[in-house]
Amino acid sequence: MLLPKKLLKKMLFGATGTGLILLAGCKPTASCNSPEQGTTPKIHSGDPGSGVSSVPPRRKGDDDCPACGRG
Amino acid sequence: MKPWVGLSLMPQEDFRQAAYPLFEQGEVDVLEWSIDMGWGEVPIPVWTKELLDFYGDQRRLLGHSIGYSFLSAEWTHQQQAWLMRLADECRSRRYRRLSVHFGFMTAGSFRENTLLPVPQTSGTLRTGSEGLRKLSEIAKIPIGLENLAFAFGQQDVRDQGGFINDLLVAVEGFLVLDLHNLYCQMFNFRKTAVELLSGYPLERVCEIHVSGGSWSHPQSGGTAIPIRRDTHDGPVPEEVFELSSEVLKLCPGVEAVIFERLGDTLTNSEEITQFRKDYSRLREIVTNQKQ
Repeated sequence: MLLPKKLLKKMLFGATGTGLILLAGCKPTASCNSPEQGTTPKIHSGDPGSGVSSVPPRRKGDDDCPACGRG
Repeated sequence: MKPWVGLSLMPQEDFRQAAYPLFEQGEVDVLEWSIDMGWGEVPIPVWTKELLDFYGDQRRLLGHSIGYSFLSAEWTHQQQAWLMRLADECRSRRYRRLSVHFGFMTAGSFRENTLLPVPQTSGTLRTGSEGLRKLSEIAKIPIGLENLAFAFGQQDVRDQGGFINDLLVAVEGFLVLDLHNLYCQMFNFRKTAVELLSGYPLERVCEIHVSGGSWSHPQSGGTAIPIRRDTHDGPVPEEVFELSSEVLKLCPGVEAVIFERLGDTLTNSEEITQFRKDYSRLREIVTNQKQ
């Protein structure tokens, strides 16, 4: 299905409005929305809507979120 | 009509970057959205919201969730609050259907957790059926269940399909058949696809999920056998592609085939390329399927 060009453009520019990729920062969730968070790029395990019935294993390089302690 | 092929949409930047060419080329017929993903305090990105609204307006948006836990023995405030949010969600966006996961998960967030199965008894069937009826009353759209990858043992594996069917009777619901979840059980419990599929009500299948996953290697417990996990963070195994082709022949009612990949797991250009290749191959399998 083809999308309207205006919508494609918004998707192309993304969250930053520039098309650049956000490099770091775990995504704020209902259970952890602290401004201190920001070292792990994963959705917290078991957060509503993580979209999977089990979540990715911890990978080398993943740091715990400083706000809630979870990776 | 050939089934639609689409994506489980993720709001993360890496997913946006990886999926953009697929949208640009008009290759995404349908979207699935994990509805409670947008219920956090921080809103989802504008591009995500507008995509969802667009697909909703085109009647090509499927709702999904793992957070409802309809098989929990005790009805909780969290579930009631979840239903209230669902009512808002269904008022604000036009979903075609809504599916939830078989199993329960009420204890909150853990690292690397999953929903857990329950055995079928008259009590669990009553609890689950009532939970699905509540869901149906609020959502006012067709309700479905997705099969679970995790099982405690052979009996869980053997009985899951029948239990899901009995639960779906309560709402005349549909089945979301997750092929990677089946693959996990095939490997972890030494079952064939035929053995597993024979237990499921294939006539109820409206949606198929396809994804990759990962291997866990237990360091204790007396076994050196790896465990396959449905983690949505790797390439689609060859066996799952083969299963897609076979299952499509057995499920004439399939309307949508959804490719799932978790956001923030596409960490380099090789993974992004593989993501696109897997999607294209899945689309080719569906398109070339004889009806």
